Amino acid sequence: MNLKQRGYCDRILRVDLTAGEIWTTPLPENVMPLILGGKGLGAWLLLMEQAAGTDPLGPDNHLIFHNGPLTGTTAPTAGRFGVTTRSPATGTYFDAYCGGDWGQMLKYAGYDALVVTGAANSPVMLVIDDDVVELHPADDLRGTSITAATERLKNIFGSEWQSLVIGPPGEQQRNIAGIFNESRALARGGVGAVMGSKQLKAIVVHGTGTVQVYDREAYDRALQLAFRAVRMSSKVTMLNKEGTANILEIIDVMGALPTRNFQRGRFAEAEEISGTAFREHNWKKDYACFGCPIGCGKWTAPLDDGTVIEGPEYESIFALGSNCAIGNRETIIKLNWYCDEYGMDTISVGGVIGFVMEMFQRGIITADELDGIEPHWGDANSALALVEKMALVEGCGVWLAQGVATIATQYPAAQPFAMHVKGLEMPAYHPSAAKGTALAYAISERGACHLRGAPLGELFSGAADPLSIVGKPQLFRDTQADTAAWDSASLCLFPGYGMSLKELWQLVAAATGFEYPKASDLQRLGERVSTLARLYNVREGHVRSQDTLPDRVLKQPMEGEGPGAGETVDLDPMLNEYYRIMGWDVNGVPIPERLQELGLAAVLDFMAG
Amino acid sequence: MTIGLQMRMDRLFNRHGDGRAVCVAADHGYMSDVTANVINLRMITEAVIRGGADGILVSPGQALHLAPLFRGRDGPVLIVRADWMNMPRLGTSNVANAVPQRLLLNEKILTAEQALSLGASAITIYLFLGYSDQIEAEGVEKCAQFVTECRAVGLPCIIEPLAYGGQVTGANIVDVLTLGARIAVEIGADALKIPYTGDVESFRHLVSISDVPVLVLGGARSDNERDALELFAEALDAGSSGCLMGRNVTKSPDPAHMVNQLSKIAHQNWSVDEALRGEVWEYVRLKANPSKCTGCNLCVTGCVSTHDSRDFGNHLARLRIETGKKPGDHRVMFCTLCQKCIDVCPTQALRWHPDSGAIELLTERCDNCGKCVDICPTQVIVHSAEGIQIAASEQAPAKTLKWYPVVCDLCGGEPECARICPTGAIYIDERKAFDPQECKA
Repeated sequence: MNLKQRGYCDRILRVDLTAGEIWTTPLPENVMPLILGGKGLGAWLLLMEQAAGTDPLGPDNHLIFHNGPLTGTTAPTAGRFGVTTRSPATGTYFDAYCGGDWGQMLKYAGYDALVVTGAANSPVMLVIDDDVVELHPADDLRGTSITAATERLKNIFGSEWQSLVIGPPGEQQRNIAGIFNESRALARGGVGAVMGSKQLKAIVVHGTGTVQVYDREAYDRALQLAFRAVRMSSKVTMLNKEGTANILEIIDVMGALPTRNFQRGRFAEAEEISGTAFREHNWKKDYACFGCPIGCGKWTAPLDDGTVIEGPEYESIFALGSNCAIGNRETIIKLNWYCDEYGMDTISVGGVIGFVMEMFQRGIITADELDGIEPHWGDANSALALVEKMALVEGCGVWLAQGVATIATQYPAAQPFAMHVKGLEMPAYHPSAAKGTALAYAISERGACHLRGAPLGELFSGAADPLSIVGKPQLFRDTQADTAAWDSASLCLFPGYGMSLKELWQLVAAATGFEYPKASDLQRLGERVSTLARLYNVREGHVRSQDTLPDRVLKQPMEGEGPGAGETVDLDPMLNEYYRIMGWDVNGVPIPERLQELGLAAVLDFMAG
Repeated sequence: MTIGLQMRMDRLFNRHGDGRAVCVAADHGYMSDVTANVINLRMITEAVIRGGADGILVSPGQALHLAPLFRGRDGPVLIVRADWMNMPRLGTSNVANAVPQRLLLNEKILTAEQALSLGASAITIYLFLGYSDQIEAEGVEKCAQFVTECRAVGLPCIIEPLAYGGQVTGANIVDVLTLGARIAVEIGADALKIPYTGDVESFRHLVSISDVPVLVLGGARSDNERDALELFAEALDAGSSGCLMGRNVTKSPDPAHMVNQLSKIAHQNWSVDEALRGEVWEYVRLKANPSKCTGCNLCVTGCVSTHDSRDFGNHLARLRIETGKKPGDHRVMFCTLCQKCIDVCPTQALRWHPDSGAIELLTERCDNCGKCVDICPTQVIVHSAEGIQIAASEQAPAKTLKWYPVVCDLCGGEPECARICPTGAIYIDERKAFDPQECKA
């Protein structure tokens, strides 16, 4: 089987920063039809190549960048790429995805994945120019911001080169640090800290190669159907019109817009920070990542002080807005700017600020401990002061930038409202008002996450009653498998508001020529890939006890008004049913028979040693 | 079949004697937003009648208000919506106008007898599958009751199965729709209105197990009008008896034209291309609207994938997207047919292509001097990746070129960059008969 004729480059680029060695290996050919690429490839490599108990910030951790068989073609959003590693924030398997223009450049340079191990002694950058791959010193980039580093690299290498860089929080191995391709980020879980621990400041790439698909005629037909499905979707149209923030108002109406550190599910100033309001007052130009027909990105008009960002998108508006009781668009833009400029995850930064504001409200933390900052709810100045401390990693910012879970270990009284799962700050859908989403937060292999199969359709497309737990484990199981297939093909999830798994399957089958007779084969592949991630976590001791939610969600009825008022999450019955559907035991461990069914017998043998 | 039922079925499906009907769905007003197509319903209805619609689906209230438009023996068939549901209000796009709702509801709103007295020649009714067992069971009961009522008065009952809700996935949606079609037939539907399954093969299967005429619906409107026409042509190819298309017609800038195109495809067997063009063009000129460019680069990869090896890439594209000085600004650099390269070429290796009117390179005359590459104002003439061997001819001996200039060929008249551009940032500005003299001027 020649994988080069099936959408792949059949090359994994390997870099050992300790030894300074660079080499390539072929893809695991026999496994590719089982895992496809992207998330599947990342999970496979991490599980099979990394020893148990690896220190996330030690040289032995793997930092695996990956694209998929469709990457670099004209499939909708085929510039998407991801990273897989062990997260310092969660201690779990961790994958993050990003649009922008870096992913397809790695593919054109001739690589399906890049595996970085080891650690350099001083800052370095990895320079990939098709077949020529070198490590260059990056001492003079030390401490630079995302845009400063990116500009410098463009000047050195040329404007067609694409870069991934980390900012100061990444260099100093903070849990809220992401990895940035200009305005787009692999943001969550401290993946920037892992890159920082390796002293790898930047990865620049330039490629001139091409991607060949297996059956071009079938692929062209699949492209036609996929694009048509995307164009004929009112949800996609809304994404273009009002960005991801188009859902803010409906989430508020559904009582699921987390407000004041998840104390409530409705925000009085929701209208002020909606997509409609940003469109009317702040956005002036649409932006699309490579290969994207949607263009959910928005460039803002400059603020009075000249601040311009690409965004803010929905999650950032929640985290830096309603979660901190901030209803001022300009403040949100400013806070978002700090995150983009210095390389931090907006959800985690907003989670920390909201958490600190509530601790301050309850007298659990004082201004003295926060370098004199008094974080009152909704106060722009203190929020900006806190985010600046984190961005520059100074004063209280040093420990704040470690995230909510780490802060909470120092303040036990704040534990019940430390809004994270497995160490990852919670995203923008209040679990008490969306029970399927609550289950997804609890189960997700990377901690509280809305992008690992959370059935958000229960909130914004009426897929089911969001307040009921009936049928939610099955609903979550289906969306989880779908999402994992999507991430393994390495497309953005947003074309999925027009395309379904069926159109994705037609693309994947034509591009790879693998034996996938039915669309459901791809769903099965998704379940297999999620299970690989679960197996990694089980190996590291993450079982049922970690599949849980904060006390605020489990025990405290939601305050305020809206459909979610008075609601808590009855998690255990959903966990039981979900484990049963997945063929896991009561402790959340996949049983051998199920792994056999999923074609993972070899993994079983490997894990048995 | 009673004579009344037979007459009404004929009236709907045999106006052109081909068993096909092009119908327009305009019943959105009491289920979703008060959008432009709802507000301007009278004007739109007049337009689609002008365009030659065979039937129009409206709510009972609009059937009263618009009654005069249905007059005359050649007037369109009136189809009345017999139930209400709130599915569009469960979505995200309606917060601004309509009050969003949390749970799916579906209610019967009139009897078959009432529909008949409104002048209806058919009624349409939903059957939801995939939301909850209860909604499905209630839907079956409601449809069955309707079929009984319709039989009593000889009114055709069009059931509309919809796969909607948490039980529907990308893996099972075709199966759910196919099942829905069969259930509807088993209940006693006289015709179906159903979403397209996405491809000809699965829709052909759905039609084949349905035993009654199947009308395809269009779904949300695409800005690219080719989409709806293509979908319709595919559905006909799969054996469907026509369409009951809504937003793609009613939200179109020219609903009459849209219906006319659908009619040509259904009743005169026109191809989509014929329906879109209506005439043959030979000469195309591209134009750009950079303010619409989002920088997605689909044009660049699309260009590469239609030339040379036809693999996907970004190298040797015949156009380029440049990042502007301000964030978010893009410049679309493409061949503007300025002909500076033709003028500068010392060996007359570049000329106007006699058919497409693009610039053409005659490699046997090329000495790869590079003057065209240097002079191109948009810098879209680039060096080829590989050289070329040129055999001897009467005029010249054999030679080897290490490289040759790669020029835009406008894809022979259907430029891929304009076809794939999702925002209209690069588009075909004009098509007309090619006249070299005019180009020169």
